Amino acid sequence: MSTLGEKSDTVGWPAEVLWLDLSKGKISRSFPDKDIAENFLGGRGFGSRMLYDITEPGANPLSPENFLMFSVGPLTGTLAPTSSRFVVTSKSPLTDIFGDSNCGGYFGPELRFAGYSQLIFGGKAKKPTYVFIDDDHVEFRDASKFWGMNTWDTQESIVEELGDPSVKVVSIGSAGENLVKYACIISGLKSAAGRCGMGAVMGSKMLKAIAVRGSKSVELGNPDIFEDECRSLVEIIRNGDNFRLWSEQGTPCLLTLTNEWGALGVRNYQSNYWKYAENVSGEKLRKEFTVKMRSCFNCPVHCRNFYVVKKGHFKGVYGEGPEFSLTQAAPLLDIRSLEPLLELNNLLNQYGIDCVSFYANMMWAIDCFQRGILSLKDTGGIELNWGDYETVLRMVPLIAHREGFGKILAEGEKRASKIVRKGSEKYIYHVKGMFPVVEDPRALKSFGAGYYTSTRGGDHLRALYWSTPKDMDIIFSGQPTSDPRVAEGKGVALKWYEDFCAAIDALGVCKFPFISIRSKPMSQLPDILAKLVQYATGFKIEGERLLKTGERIYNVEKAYNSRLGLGRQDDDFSNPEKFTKEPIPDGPAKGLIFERDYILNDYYKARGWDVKTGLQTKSKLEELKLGYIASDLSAIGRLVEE
Amino acid sequence: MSLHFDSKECTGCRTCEVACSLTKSHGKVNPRMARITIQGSLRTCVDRAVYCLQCTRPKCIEACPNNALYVNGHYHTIKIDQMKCVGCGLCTQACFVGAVKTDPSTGQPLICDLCGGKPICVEWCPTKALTFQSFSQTRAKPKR
Repeated sequence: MSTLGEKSDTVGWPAEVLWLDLSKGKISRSFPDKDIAENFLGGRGFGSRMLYDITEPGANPLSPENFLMFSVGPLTGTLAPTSSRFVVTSKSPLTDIFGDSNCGGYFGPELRFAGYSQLIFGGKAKKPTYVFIDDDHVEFRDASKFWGMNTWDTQESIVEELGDPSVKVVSIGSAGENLVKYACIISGLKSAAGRCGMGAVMGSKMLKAIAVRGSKSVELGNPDIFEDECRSLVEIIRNGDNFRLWSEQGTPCLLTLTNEWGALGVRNYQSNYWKYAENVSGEKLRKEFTVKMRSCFNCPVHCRNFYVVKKGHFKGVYGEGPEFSLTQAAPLLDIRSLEPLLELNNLLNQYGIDCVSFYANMMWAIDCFQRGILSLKDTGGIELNWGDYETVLRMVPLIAHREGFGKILAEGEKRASKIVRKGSEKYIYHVKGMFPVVEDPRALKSFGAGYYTSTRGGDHLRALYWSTPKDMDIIFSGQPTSDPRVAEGKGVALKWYEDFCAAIDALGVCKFPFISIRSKPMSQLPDILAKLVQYATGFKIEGERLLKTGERIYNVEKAYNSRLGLGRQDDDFSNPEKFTKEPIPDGPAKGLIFERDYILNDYYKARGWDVKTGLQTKSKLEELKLGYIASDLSAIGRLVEE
Repeated sequence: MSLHFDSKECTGCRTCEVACSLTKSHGKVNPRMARITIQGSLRTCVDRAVYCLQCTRPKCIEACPNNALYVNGHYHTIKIDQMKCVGCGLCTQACFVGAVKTDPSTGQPLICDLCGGKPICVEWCPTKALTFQSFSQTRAKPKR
C-alpha cells in the first residue's frame, strides 16, 4: 500500500491531495501515487481506493477513526460538458459498509481551481469548525455561531463572513449535526451529496462546512483538440432524443414514464399503478411552478427547476430542484399534489436530509401504523396516514432534531425496524441497509438488478441501467439487454453499466447526458469520454481501458464490503420474498416477479466472481492489478482462489 | 456590434467563463481570468453578466496614467499596450461595471475584446442568453 507519491508527468492532473486532521488542527499535502492516478483516474476512483487503503475495516463510521473524502476528477472544472461533479466518500453510518455520494453544483470545480484533486478529513474537531480553503491557504475556523443553522443560512453567513460572494460552500444542517443516519451534505439550494449519510460523518467530526475559493488555472494537455472534442460532445448531447424533455422538465419527467411501465411502488409497494401521476408530473411542474431552468457548472442540459408557488396554502414557497428522487414521494406516500412536495424539498434541503431514505422510513412508519404495528403511543401521539402531507412535513424537523418519534426514524432503514420489531421488519425494503428508489425491480428488471448488486447499498445510480438501445444487444452477443422486462441478458449488461458509471464518476462529469440523453450509440460513449481524458491530461487511454478502470473501482468497493463479511446473501432486499415471490398485483406490469437468482448468477459470471458465494476470485483481482487486495482477502478467507 | 445578455435565458452555468478563459489564457481554464463573469446569489434565479460595455467615454482609459489603454478599430473594444501598462490597477478601480479584472501574474488588466468579432462566449452559450448584435438590433428586440 502506498498513498504518498511524486507529482505525475501528465498535464494538470492529478493535483494535490490535502490531508486535514481535525483532531490536531494540522494539514499536510501529497500527490496521488502514480499507480493510483493511472489506474483509478480520479473522483470516485480516488475516493474508493483511498478509503480501502487508509480506513480500518472495523472503524465505527461516526468515530474519529473514519475518514471523509471529497474528490474531483480529471474533467471537473474543464470545458467538458457537465464537468461539475465531485464525490464524497466515507464508511457509511447508514449501512456500516462502503459509502459514497456524488454531487453537482459549483463546489467541485472551485476545489479544482484551488488546486486540489482530493480533500481527506480525519479525526474530530473539539468544537464546531469550518474549513476555508483559499488556494494554498488553508484555515480551520470557528463555526460555533453557525451550529444549528440550516444549510442555506450557513452558506450565506459563511460567504458574508469571508466577504466574497464567489466562495463556494458545502454544509450540513441540523440532521448532520444530530447524526441522523441519512443526513446529507448540501451545496447551493439543492445540490446534495445525498446518499449514505455523508452529512452524519461530517457532523460526527464537528465539521459544519467547507468553503473554497480557487484562482488557479486548470492546465490542459492538448487544449485545441480538447475544445473541438468538447464541442462535438455538446452536439451529441443536444441532439439526443431526450434532450428537450430533460432541459425543460428535469428528472421529474420520469414519473409519468415510470407509471406507464407499471413500476411505481404506491403506498410502500402495495400497488403498482397510480392514478394521480399527472398531478405531480414534470409537465405540471414546468407549467405551473417553474420560473426558470437552472444549471450546474458548465452544463448544456440545465435540468434544475427553479420554482415559485404563486397561490394557495403554500404561496411564496420558492426553491430549486425537485428531482425525480423527490417527486417519487408522491406515489410512495400517496401525496396527490405538487405544492407540499415543493415545501418538503426545501425542508429536506435546509435540514440536510437525504430525501430517498427519508421516504423509505416515512412510508414504512405509515404502513406499520396503518397495519396496527405502530400505535399512537409509539409515535408520540402522531397519527400517520397515507397522503397526509402535513404530518410528513411535521416529521422533518422531528427527525433532524431527533425528537420524539423522529428519534427512531433518524436511525434509518436498517435500525428503525429493529428498534420497533413486532413484525415491522417485513415492511421496510432496503438492500444492505439502504432503500433504492421508487422503481419496482419486478417491472424494470434492468434498473432493479442494480439495486441488488450496488456496492453502496440499494441504489439506482450505480448502474442507471433503465433500458438500453437495441444496438447494445450486439455487444452482448444478441441477448435482449434492451428489454427491461425480461430477465435474460440483464446480468451481463448490468456489469457493463456499473463499470461505465464508475468510470464516469471517476472523471467528474454527470451520468445523465451520457446515459439518458446522448444521440450517439451507447457503445461509442466510452471511447468518446476516453478521448476527452486523453486531450485534457495527456494521459493515454481508450474506451476499453476506461471501462476496465470502472471495473477496477467497482472491485475495490466490492472488496471493501467483502472484507466486512458481505457476500451473495447480502446482494438482496431485507425482505427477499417481496420482489422474488409476490407478483405485481396490478397495472401494466401485473404478474411480473424479479428473477433474482437467474440475474445474479449471470451477473457474477460476467464479473468473474464466484457464483455460489458472490466473492471475488484471485484471477479477476490479479487481472485488474489488485494483487494486494487479493492477498488481504485471502488472509481472512474472503477470496475464492481460482 | 456588441455583446447582449438576456438574463431570462441564462441558466447560470458559467460555460461562457470557461470558454473565454480557455481561449484567452492559452489553453488553461480559469474563470477568474475570463473577460466575462456571471454573478448570481443563492436564493434567486436571476444572474447578471459582467463584461466590457464599450462605453463611449471609457473610464478605464481616462484613469490610465500611462496611456496604455486605447479604443481599437471596428468594434470599439479596449486594447492594452502591454509595453506601457505598469499594472497599477487604476483601470480596474475606474470601471463602474466591474468588468476589468486583473491578471494576478502580470498585474495587467483583462478586458473583453469581442474575440475580434467572433466572441467565443456567444458560440458556447447553451441557451443563447449571450448574443452578438448591432446596437440597433439590441434596441429593436421585442419585449416579451
